[in-house]
Amino acid sequence: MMKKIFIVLVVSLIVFGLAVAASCIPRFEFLDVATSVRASMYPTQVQKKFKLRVGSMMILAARMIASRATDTPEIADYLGDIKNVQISIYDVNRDEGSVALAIPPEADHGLKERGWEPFVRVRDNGQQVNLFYKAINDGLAGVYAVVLAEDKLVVVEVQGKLDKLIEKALQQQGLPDGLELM
Amino acid sequence: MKPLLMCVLSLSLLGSVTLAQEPVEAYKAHPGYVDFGSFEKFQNSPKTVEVSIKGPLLKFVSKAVAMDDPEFSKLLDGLLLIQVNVFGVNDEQALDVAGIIKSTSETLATKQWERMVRVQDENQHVEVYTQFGENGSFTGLTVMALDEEDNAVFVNIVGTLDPEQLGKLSAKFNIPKLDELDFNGQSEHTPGDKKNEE
Repeated sequence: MMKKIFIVLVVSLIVFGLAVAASCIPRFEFLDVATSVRASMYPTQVQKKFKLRVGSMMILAARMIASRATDTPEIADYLGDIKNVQISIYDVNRDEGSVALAIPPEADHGLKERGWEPFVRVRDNGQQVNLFYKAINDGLAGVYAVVLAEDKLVVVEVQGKLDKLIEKALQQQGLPDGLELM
Repeated sequence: MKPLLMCVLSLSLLGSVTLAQEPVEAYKAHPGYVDFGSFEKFQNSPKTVEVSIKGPLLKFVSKAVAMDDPEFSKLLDGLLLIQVNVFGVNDEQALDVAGIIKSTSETLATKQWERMVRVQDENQHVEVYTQFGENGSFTGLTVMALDEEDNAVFVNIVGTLDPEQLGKLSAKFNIPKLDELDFNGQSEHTPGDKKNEE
């Protein structure tokens, strides 16, 4: 009996581990941030408008399709480096009496605890943008953006080996002449 | 027991992956680092800009632009940290900003920083300090300002920096006040300002 329980436990752990590795379960940090931002906005109504989640299996499929495209075969290489993409867009229904909304510090703290490093925070005219990155062994392993605009909340997370992808983008587009921070 | 062994091995491999995050504390020992103190008072300002670009991200951008702009890439290679804080302030907060500028200036003076620019009149207050390393390059640059649009600006660049490259750094990262500095000639001043250049 004990042996059976042990086997079930081990198998469950392996399945859970594989599921997380394959991004089959939404990442907790992504849910946490959206939840804490929405909670901080109460009683302002925040409704989910759009949600996109692409895990490694879907990216693998996209990679296979892209590799067969004759005009842009390099896209398959870049897709192979992406592990997970999540985008959520919410409608924020502000009424006339609502107070100025802001991304709460708890959202930042939660991300920092999970290894996300903030590098840009901008708030101006009721809009706010918080950007984070994750670096592993001198490589860029993820970018995370929380954008609170007039009537929209947007949360974006991209994880994977992003060096090659961003390097290519910078080489093609160049570094913008002046990031519009002011 | 093979699955269990694989689990243990996988966990060991995961554990060996080190996060390259570097807290600001890692730079505090560097002579070019400046601690402005807490900006908590300004956190609720309607306008805030906080940029903190640390070593790993600077190295990444340097690598990424190396082919396209090798000169800028080399400039980034020498930098360890770029911190920019901008806050829109009211009259009361402006007094707090003046206090931070004064106390930080006093601290920098005791740490052999050189004041390069000082502009103070009824509309603005700008102080620029540099920390020189060997061979005439900067190891740190600090800008503190309260401008005519009631923006408090605090900039600290840590690392080796060629003064002639400041303009390029300012243009690429849009760092406020740096574009007004010209260390080879004169900095821009409003005529009649009380100023002190060294």
